[in-house]
Amino acid sequence: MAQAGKIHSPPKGRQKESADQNLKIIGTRMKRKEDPRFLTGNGRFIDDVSLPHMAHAAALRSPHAHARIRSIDKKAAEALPGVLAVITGEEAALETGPLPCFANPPVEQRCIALGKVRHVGEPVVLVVAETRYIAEDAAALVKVEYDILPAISDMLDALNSSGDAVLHPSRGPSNIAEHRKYTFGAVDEEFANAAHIVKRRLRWARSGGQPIETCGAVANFDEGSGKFTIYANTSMYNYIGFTIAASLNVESHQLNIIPMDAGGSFGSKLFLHKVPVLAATAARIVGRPVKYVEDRVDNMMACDNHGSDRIYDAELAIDSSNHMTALRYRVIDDYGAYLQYGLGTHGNGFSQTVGPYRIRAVGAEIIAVLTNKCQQGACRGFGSEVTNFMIERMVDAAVSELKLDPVQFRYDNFIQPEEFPYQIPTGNLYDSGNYPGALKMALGMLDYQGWRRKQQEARAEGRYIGIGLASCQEKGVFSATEFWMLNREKGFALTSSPESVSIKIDTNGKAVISLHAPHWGNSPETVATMVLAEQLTLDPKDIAITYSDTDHGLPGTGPGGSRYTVMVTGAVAGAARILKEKLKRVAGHMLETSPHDLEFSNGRVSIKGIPGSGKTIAEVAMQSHMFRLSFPDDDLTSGLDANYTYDHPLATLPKSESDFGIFYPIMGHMCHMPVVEVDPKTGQVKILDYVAVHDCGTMINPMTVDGHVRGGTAQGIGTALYEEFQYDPNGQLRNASFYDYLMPRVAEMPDKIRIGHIITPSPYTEYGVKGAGEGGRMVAPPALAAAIEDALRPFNVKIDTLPATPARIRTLVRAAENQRG
Amino acid sequence: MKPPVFDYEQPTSLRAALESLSRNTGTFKLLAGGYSLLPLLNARTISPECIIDISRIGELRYVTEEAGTIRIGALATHDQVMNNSAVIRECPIVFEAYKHVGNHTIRNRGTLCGSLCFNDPTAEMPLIMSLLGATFVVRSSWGSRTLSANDFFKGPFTNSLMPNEMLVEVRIPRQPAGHGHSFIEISQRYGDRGLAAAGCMLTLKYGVVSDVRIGFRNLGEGLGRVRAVEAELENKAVNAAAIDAASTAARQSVRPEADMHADAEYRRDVAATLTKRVIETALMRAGQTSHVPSFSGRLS
Ligand SMILES: Cc1cc2nc3c(=O)[nH]c(=O)nc-3n(C[C@H](O)[C@H](O)[C@H](O)COP(=O)(O)OP(=O)(O)OC[C@H]3O[C@@H](n4cnc5c(N)ncnc54)[C@H](O)[C@@H]3O)c2cc1C
Repeated sequence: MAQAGKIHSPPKGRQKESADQNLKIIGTRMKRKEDPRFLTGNGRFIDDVSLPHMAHAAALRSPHAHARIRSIDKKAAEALPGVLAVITGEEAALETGPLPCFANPPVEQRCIALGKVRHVGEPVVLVVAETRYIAEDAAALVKVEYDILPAISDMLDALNSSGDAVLHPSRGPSNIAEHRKYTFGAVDEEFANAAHIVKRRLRWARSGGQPIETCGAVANFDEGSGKFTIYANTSMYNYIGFTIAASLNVESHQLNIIPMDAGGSFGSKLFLHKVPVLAATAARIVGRPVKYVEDRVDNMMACDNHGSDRIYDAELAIDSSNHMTALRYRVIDDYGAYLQYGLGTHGNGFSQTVGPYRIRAVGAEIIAVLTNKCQQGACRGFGSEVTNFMIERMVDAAVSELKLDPVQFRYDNFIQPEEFPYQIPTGNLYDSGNYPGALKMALGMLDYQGWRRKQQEARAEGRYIGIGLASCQEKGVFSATEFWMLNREKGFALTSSPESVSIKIDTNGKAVISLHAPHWGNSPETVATMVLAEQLTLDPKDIAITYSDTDHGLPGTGPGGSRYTVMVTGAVAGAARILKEKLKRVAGHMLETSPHDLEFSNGRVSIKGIPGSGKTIAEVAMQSHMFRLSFPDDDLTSGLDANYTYDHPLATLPKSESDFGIFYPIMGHMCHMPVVEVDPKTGQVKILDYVAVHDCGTMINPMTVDGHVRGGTAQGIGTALYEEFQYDPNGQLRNASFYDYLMPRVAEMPDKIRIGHIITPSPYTEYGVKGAGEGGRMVAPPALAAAIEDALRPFNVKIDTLPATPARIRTLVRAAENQRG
Repeated sequence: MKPPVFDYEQPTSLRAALESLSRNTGTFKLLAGGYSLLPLLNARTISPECIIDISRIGELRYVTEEAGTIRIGALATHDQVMNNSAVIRECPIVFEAYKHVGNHTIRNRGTLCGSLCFNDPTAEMPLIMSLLGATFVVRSSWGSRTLSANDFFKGPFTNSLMPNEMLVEVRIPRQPAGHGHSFIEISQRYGDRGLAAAGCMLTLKYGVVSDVRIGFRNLGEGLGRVRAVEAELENKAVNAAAIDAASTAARQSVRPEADMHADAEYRRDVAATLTKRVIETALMRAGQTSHVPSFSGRLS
């Protein structure tokens, strides 16, 4: 059992670059390296790939949520001129196996439905043709007969379904995929001793990342070597790309995945599997390169990456001095038709399940159900965004039931700045933080008292203004244990989550950094460039970035789990150390001094303390590449290059089911304070002001952090007010288009999101960097729920269901009006 | 998401278009701005054999004012109508409602007549044209007829055009001098299809309202003007009780349906609120001789 509290003999860590040094480039608002390419329309996305003799594929989507495929008549489709193949699940399965799955026991999923369809939109047939137009024409000619099976749409129905309603009978006679209970600390005792217990039922609706660019792949199969080449907008290809080879039944060296620029992901392309396997399966069958790019409907119905979909029954124990002592919850999570990451999204939540508070004990009962919907995958927050919502709603529930002040209550319950590193009851460690400091900054920036006054004045005029507050954690840098630690049988219990770079300094002293993860809409080039420029005192203009494919790839886990900046910084710093050593050694020969007397300044390898002395890096590089015979005949080699693989900065193995060890320790924090006005008669919400204070440790580039904060907040506003995949009782997805799946657009955004930064560097990462990728979405939903609730305080309504749409808000207000009479 | 195979014609004159209409015996669709048609085509919701693209018929792209009547040609874009000075002066409700029609990109290419023909139950302009008493000039190669809004609009997504007919012009008659107007729409996002909308025009003289026109959008099939609501105000002295009565009548008259965005009860309830608000705003504005609205939307 993990004892919550300050850790007195903290783990050492491997930090080499401390945060308190004079930095020239890190911390500046350097313009993004990626911008010129993208802003001039020169990004290269999957749909830009065009290979000679390339064919095009389109999927026939299942119109039913749950059915047995009785027969497929493809004659008419095959007869259409220009059609190359009409591939059924059976035909695909001749050579292509199941898709990768991290759940154990696994849930079998095929790239084309085999025997049964389990959600609307699931591919039933893949048509390959000369053009996408013909492929779609042919798909419309395929006749499929189905035997309809009972569809499970409501997650509560999944709890006691049986017989034909069971999605995966091979995995047991029910649709409950997992039912697990966890106890961290003395939960029962804390509840027995509690002075107050606050209870709520909370509902978090299914939404998902909506990248502008859908998922896609172009695959080619070389019969001679038996090797696949797949271009795709995926991320984890240098980590678990080999599992795609396994699906295709080839050796891992018979698969080369070439990453493309991704037009957004938000987690949804974290590990693309179905789309590349579809394209590759088709390419092998038709013997030509095949492009398969999801259209919007494919992406919304069958991307395999919907977000969490949960009902919480939560209880919070509070002692007589208004300190929260324990949290206990039962959560039902609707995972849809398959289970790609097992209970990973709940394991993720365990990394910060007490939020920024000194809660000593946590009890969790997790029920994962299977329903006839698109399966869940990664979506910005990976489940922890829902944990945050639950914690903050419970905190606000306590504040309002006990008639306390939301600010003071948080101050009284925060883990204090001097308590780090801090162990939470689940065993995870929080490395550093200053939660009261963030709240204080947010209050100041917002002019909290000023808004409280305006709120009063408005109420006198019959207007309803509300101020929201949420203080949430942003866990950064996952360790792979979260993927399997909640599995019943652990299965493939991987523990690595490294990131590599390869750096070459060429003959003329220019550097090329190869990343082993893709461009994903974030700023990896900017970050890697700035870190290397800092290390070598190079001009950022003299640094270029490339992306390696799997053939040339070193271990690279890629962006996800707010990790990439931390990890690539560590990898670049590591590679730079190797390069610096060699540069000094070569320069030492050139200058006839000891390498120990040399340092880097202004692009030179110079004598310590004498700026301008020594040689430029370009001079040293030329020497190193071209003039080997000028040096003694020792073990020095020509050229200047280095590979470096940086492992997770601080992770331990799970100890038991009540102590998962350290798996997500680089702990960011954020405090959001929105101000909203609600029209109680129509339920409409308008955001009047928005303050977002974030702590992601040392910032490599505050400008790109600001971008992440704004983008994440926009997505959080979407989750809070608009976004919801709506399935009807028959399992039909009613809003598989951007007409009806509503996301905030620029007009729904506050005029300005006012951003503040508080910096508590991590003692474990290079330069003290923390993650910042998921932030806004992990805090805006509870902050907005709180703001709406505050605005409607006179009606005493509870915002326990998101999204808070006009109809939902008005319904709550009407019930309150009717109650009052 | 690619359209099925179709034939394509592109007449450049009204006469050629009408001929094309009468010649075509299979299924066909006119293409104007395409903002409603093309998504349906790409989603294969419809698969006409032929598309007759009328967007190049320059002679139909006009908005003119003659003897108090505003005439709007079939290809006048939303933007052209919205920003026409006669329209702004004579019937300011058009501008007010147009702020809710999509966004500038949509209004720049979509046409008023296309929207009226499409008759999406959430579209604003069918209601506005009903309130204004507009008439619809319909032609085929055999002749022409002029319909009232009541006769032109049928149920959701339908109109009363014969297959060989097209809408060539909409005429807005002179509006009562000094009338008050208001249009309010509730949508989840700026420019979205509305959850519910209401419009009101009225004239106020010596504290008595007359020529009351009130109607709704997306609150039930076939709802243009709603006489039961109008009757609560027509020729009555304005007071809170009358407005409440109209609001109650609205709640009772609308027949909204539930969809994924809101249930029927919500819509019924906001119908009452909207009614109250449009009447109050129209009353406030009534009698103001030159009411030139300014654009207050944040974005266009
Ligand atoms: C993102 C988006 C948001 C939108 N938001 C709104 C909104 O808020 N409110 C709103 O009202 N509309 C909205 N629209 C629809 C837009 O206003 C369309 O432009 C309009 O509905 C149709 O006009 P069009 O010229 O594009 O017609 P088309 O799409 O070309 O045609 C529409 C239909 O009318 C027929 N048609 C067109 N012209 C004639 C004619 N002269 N005679 C006979 N039949 C004809 C066509 O055959 C077709 O069936 C939106 C559209 C988009 C894409």
